[in-house]
Amino acid sequence: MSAATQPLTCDEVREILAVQALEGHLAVEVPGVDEHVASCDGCHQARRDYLEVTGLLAFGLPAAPASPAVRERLRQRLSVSPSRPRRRWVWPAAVAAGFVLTLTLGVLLGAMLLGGDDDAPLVADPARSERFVLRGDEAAQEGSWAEVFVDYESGAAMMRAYGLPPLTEGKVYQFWFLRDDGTRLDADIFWPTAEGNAVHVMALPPDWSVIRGMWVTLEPAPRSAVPEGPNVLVTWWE
Amino acid sequence: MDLFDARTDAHGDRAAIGQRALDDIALVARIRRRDEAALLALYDRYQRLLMALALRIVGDRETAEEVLQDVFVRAWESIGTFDERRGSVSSWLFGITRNRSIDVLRSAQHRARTRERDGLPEQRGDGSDVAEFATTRILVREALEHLSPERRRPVELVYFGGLTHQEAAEALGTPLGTTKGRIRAALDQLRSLLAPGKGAAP
Repeated sequence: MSAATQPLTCDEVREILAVQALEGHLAVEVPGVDEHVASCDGCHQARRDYLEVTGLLAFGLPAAPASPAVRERLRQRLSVSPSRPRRRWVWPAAVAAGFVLTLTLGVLLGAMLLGGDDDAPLVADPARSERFVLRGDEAAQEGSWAEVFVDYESGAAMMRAYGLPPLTEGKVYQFWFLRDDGTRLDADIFWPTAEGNAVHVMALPPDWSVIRGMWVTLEPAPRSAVPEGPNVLVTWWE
Repeated sequence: MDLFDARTDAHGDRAAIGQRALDDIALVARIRRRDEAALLALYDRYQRLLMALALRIVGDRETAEEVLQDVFVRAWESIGTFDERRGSVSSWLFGITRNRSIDVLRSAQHRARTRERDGLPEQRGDGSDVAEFATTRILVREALEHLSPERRRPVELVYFGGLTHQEAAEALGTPLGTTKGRIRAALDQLRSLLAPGKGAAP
């Protein structure tokens, strides 16, 4: 039966959207799908989610660095000046830290995912890691919270946030560490999913001993040098 | 990541740190203003992942590197087509990479069905993952391991093998409707597994 005489159902459309997302530019356009998606919020979200999921598949592959010649050819093509002293330091540092974090976060995530399973092969070491819970504050909706797993050995923290209010245009969530002198140290910015959830990895401040809390605030994009927006999630300790 | 910069900044100059913040959306905004350094920063951030995808599809390093360079030239030339409401910067880049890789694969008449592989390769990172991708990598691998072979195989054949779903059905010897249904079920399962928030509230 043609689409002209029988509109597609959401179930039919989502099957088509899944296949199209996976096929990329090989996908064949199906009459009636775009019209359905334009008028159906659920299918609109499904299309976005399918595209995101397929985009994530490549993360399952082992990283494969290209030879430096590729970057050089690209740079020459763009006629960019080679003088970039800051990034020469930053990226090797990030790469080195990434190696450590990949190993350590595997342990942390394993503990999170497999918690309660006596046979779980990955267990976080409490002597070098700790879990903090951040709860909703003034700008949060009911049910907003986050857990932050801190790994002291690698200097990394992984945050999982849940139920955050959706971001409006021009806004970002920003994570801060609170120092004992009351100042807040910018850690990073992040965006939640449409469901209000987020996973984010950050580096710990150089001197953890002066840290007394963690904060998430709602800030104007791209980010704030000091907190300007309302508190969303907080936790602190003595 | 901001704090990597902070550790190098003896003066703790917060304003300078803020200016050094590089995130994907900000990079795209700069690329739209024809900031070539921003494109190279985006390259630095994603080249390992995009190279892995291109290499997986086309099968040889030299061709994969040509694809990688072409991806960023295309990204530079077509940055106006990126719409953040439709997806993330990484998804957009992965899409360009996959499409370009498949074009190369097909133009070289490497029929994808001859390139079937037994699942995803051994996951051995080279230790060069940047920190910001560590969690995503772990989550994706966990999610993929949850897929049954019946669901995982057509996904691999289409996404990494460059087949259409009809070709995947033929390769697997399963009816077209069954293949489509398994693809959808796989993506729904991944969609569910990769969404955070599955844990119980404190």
